[in-house]
Amino acid sequence: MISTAVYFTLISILWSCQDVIDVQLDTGETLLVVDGWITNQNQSYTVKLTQTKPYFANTPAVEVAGASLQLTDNEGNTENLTETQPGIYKIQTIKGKIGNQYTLKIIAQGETYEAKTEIKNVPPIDSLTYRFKEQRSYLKEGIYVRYFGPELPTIGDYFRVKVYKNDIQYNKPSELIVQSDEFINGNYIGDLEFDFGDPFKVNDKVKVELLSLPQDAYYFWQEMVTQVNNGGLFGTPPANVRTNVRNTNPNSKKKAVGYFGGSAVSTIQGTITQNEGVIK
Amino acid sequence: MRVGLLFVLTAMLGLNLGFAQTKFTINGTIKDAKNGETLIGVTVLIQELQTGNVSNEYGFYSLTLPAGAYTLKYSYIGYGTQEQKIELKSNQVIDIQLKEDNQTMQEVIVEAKKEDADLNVKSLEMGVSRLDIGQIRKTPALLGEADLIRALQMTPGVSTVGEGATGFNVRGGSIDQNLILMDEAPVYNSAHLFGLFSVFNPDAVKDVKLVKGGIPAQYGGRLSSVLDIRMKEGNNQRFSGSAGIGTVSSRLTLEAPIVKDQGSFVIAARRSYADLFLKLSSDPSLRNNTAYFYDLSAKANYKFSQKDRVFISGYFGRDVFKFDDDFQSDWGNATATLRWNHLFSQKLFANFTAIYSNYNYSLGIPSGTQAFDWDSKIINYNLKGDLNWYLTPHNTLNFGASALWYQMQPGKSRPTSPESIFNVIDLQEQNAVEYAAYLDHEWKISSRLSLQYGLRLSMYQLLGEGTYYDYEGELEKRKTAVNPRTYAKGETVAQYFNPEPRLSVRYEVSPTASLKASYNRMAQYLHLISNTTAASPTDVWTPSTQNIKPEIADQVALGYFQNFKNNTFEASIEAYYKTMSNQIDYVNGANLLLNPKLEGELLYGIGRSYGLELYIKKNTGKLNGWVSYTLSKSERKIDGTNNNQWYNAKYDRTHILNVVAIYDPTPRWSLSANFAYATGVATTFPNAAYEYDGIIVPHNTDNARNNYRVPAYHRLDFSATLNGKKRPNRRIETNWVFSIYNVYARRNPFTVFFRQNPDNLQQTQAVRFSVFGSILPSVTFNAKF
Repeated sequence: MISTAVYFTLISILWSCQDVIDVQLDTGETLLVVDGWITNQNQSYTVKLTQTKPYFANTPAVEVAGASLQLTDNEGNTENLTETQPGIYKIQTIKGKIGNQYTLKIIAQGETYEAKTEIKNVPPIDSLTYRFKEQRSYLKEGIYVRYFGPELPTIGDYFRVKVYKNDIQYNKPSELIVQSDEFINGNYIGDLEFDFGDPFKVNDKVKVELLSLPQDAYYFWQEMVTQVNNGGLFGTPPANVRTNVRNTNPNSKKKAVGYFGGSAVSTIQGTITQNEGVIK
Repeated sequence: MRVGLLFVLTAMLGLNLGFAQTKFTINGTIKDAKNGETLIGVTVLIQELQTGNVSNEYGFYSLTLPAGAYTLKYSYIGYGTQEQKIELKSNQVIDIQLKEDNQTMQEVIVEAKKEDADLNVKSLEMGVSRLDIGQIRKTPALLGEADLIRALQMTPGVSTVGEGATGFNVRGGSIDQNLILMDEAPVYNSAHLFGLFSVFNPDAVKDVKLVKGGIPAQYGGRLSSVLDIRMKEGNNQRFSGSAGIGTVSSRLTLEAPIVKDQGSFVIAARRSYADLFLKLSSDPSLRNNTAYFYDLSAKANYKFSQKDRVFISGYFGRDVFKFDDDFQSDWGNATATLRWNHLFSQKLFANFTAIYSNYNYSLGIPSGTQAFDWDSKIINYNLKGDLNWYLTPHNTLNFGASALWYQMQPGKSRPTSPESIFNVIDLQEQNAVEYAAYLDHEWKISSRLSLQYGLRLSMYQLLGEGTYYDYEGELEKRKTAVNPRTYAKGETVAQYFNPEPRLSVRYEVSPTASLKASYNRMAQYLHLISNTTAASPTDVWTPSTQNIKPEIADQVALGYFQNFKNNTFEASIEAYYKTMSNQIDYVNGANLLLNPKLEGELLYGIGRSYGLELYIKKNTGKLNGWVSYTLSKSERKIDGTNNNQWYNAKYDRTHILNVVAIYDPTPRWSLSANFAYATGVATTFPNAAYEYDGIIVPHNTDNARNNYRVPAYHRLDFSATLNGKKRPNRRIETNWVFSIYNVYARRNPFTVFFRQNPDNLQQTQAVRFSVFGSILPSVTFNAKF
């Protein structure tokens, strides 16, 4: 049902045109950017600290080095993160667990920030199927992958889906997928086809990850999807994407952006061996 | 209220005492001699008294005068003036048939211009735009489709958020603040093809009037304007019709008498046919696509007696889209109006109306695992009575009452295949009623000073059954529904009452100039929930609740009207100031689709708009047309948006200039040009960016709203009309209309948005989205008999 907006955009494209133009923009004050995620997978996680930059800077983000980061969970574990590269802070001991809550404290550039998240349950992915499709007006020729798996019986589950081809994530703004169970709660999700305009070939490796999201993290991703794909006849007014990173001093003007979130992850992967097949 | 009534009574009594024994009434209906269509707004002047009246929406007029000898002059723009000498000794019925200019003799035309073209100076009306359909047909139109709403956008005070956007904005109001009436039935979505064209077939329309200020007490329910569209009644003299073949659509209109002079009908249909060309495509997936709109208007009337006339009219229009088996959607309005004109006396004209209106849409995916079908509708039923009581030539009372019932199904979605992943979603149906009563007095105090004042009382109730909530939470964030309350069927959930005073004054400075002022308060109980740049067909109308309060507007306007060179030129300058309360905005990332807790996504605040409108029109001569310029500002202040500071409304445009020129070098050729300029709409641009998980996210560190403007809009169009040779023994008249829209192929920005360069994701760019990026030529062939 999310696709409604996409279809209306498609229809309106029939007459329209778009081109790149020059726009003079102001430069706002520099803010701290937090980019970190903890999951229940057995690996280590990092939190990346950078700074905002002018919109048209087109340069890599400036790291924020020398900050002090501390992660605690609701089991009473505390860990100081280690800066392994400038601006990259590693979580080494605390593991992500379904049902646990996490608080990240950041002291950077003289300000103290805090972000809270939790890890929600995730359903399994049963299988993927794939099938070759011929070229049609707006569909490229190639192999398309379909998703099969249950959705949790509880209402209020939120997910992010990550798809990888040969270990490279489909990660363009238009390829972000987040979904709420609002209209599909408890149903079996079968035959859901991924179409990024860049289908698979025989011998490609495919990996799909399903990440559970807390409600606020879902809104973060959904707002981001809206903002980075905004435009056209039915665009919405540009607005800032939410953050869960708060300055602990409410009177401070220094705000942060970005998100520290938590997910449980289900993964399925395999290799496409022919024009039609199943990956379990 | 009490003072007003007393005022009226005193005025009436005084007059009655003075002339009680000697007065008689002349009344009648004024029609077009050629086809029997009644004429709205014909001036009836009593030469001896230098006063008179104007025919109402049904062509009816009434004058009550002391016995004596009088000369009555009936005049109407584009028609020859008719003079009638009478000896008034008893009540009389005088029905008048006026002839169009081109059928009358030259000297009469000259006189006609003198008599009636100064209606803008003489009448109390201000803030009114009238459209002349004949003139619209001569001016350049997008893809050759003459369009009422696009033509209105060339008049002062009317703008749009962008080319091809649904609806129109009047004096800084949003699109849902316009009451669009088609034969008195409200139309909830005025757009075909997302807004490229409007739903009204110009062939079926007789009269178009947009009232932006000084709105009479007869109208209510929307803040910013009333667009009153009256359909043709149909030729009651002979069978006739018209047809047109255009680039986008074809039209056919047929009209005929039911019984000559007693009744007639008209039926008009239009359909676009881009999809018929798709069928010829070699690409099978294109062949299976469908995209078209159609509309059908029908109306019949019958005069049962001198005192009773009944009209029945209907409209049905639809847009249909289908993309292969992947997606389908359709939407449209249906309206039906039944009217009964009744003369209680020669002085008291009444019209009783029953109205049904339905706007609905559906969309869905027909098959597969994502199959669903979602529909939504708003239905309303309305009963009303409107009476005009022509007491004396100086005093007219208009009064009436109305009862409206809204029935809203905001959304219902069902899976349509056994394997569909979707659940049934069924949002609660909402019911509301709106009652209104009004009284309005038009009073010509002296030959120079006239006054119209009135009061409308409106009462609104949201009714059960249903569950309604309070909402709690932080100001800028989505709020949580708490405290559910369940109401039984018919039980009152929320109730509002609003007195809406209206006032217009006119002072004649000289015979060719007048000064006018007006004030109106309007209340609006229904709101269009739309957070997209252009309204979409899936936007939902929502009623006022205990959380969503009625919108209230107060508007004052001042105008100076003057005609020059014997009414060859008419000019006006108007200034207005309008405040609006309970304006709706949305939280960041608002979810407005199929959301049962929709009110949690809303923010509320106030609005203000003010402006200056200049208009100069040349009515006659080989070269005619108009120039319209609007200087304006429209702002909102919403708790939780733009740091709670005033910001520009998205459709705020500082300068709007429109020039329309029509040149008729020979009787066969007519050439025309349009030029439109408007300041770019307000929008929000980022002043920073950050990287998150490889995505570059735009950000505004000031949390500002609408802090920039997209580049200005401007466009030039040409058209040429070639009329077929007139042959005295042939009834068919034909013409060809050639038009070029956007002559210099300007890429007018609809929006400017920001993104990562799809070919180099490390780079960011600003992208201009234009609805039309090229020159659009078209040809239309029209015939009528």
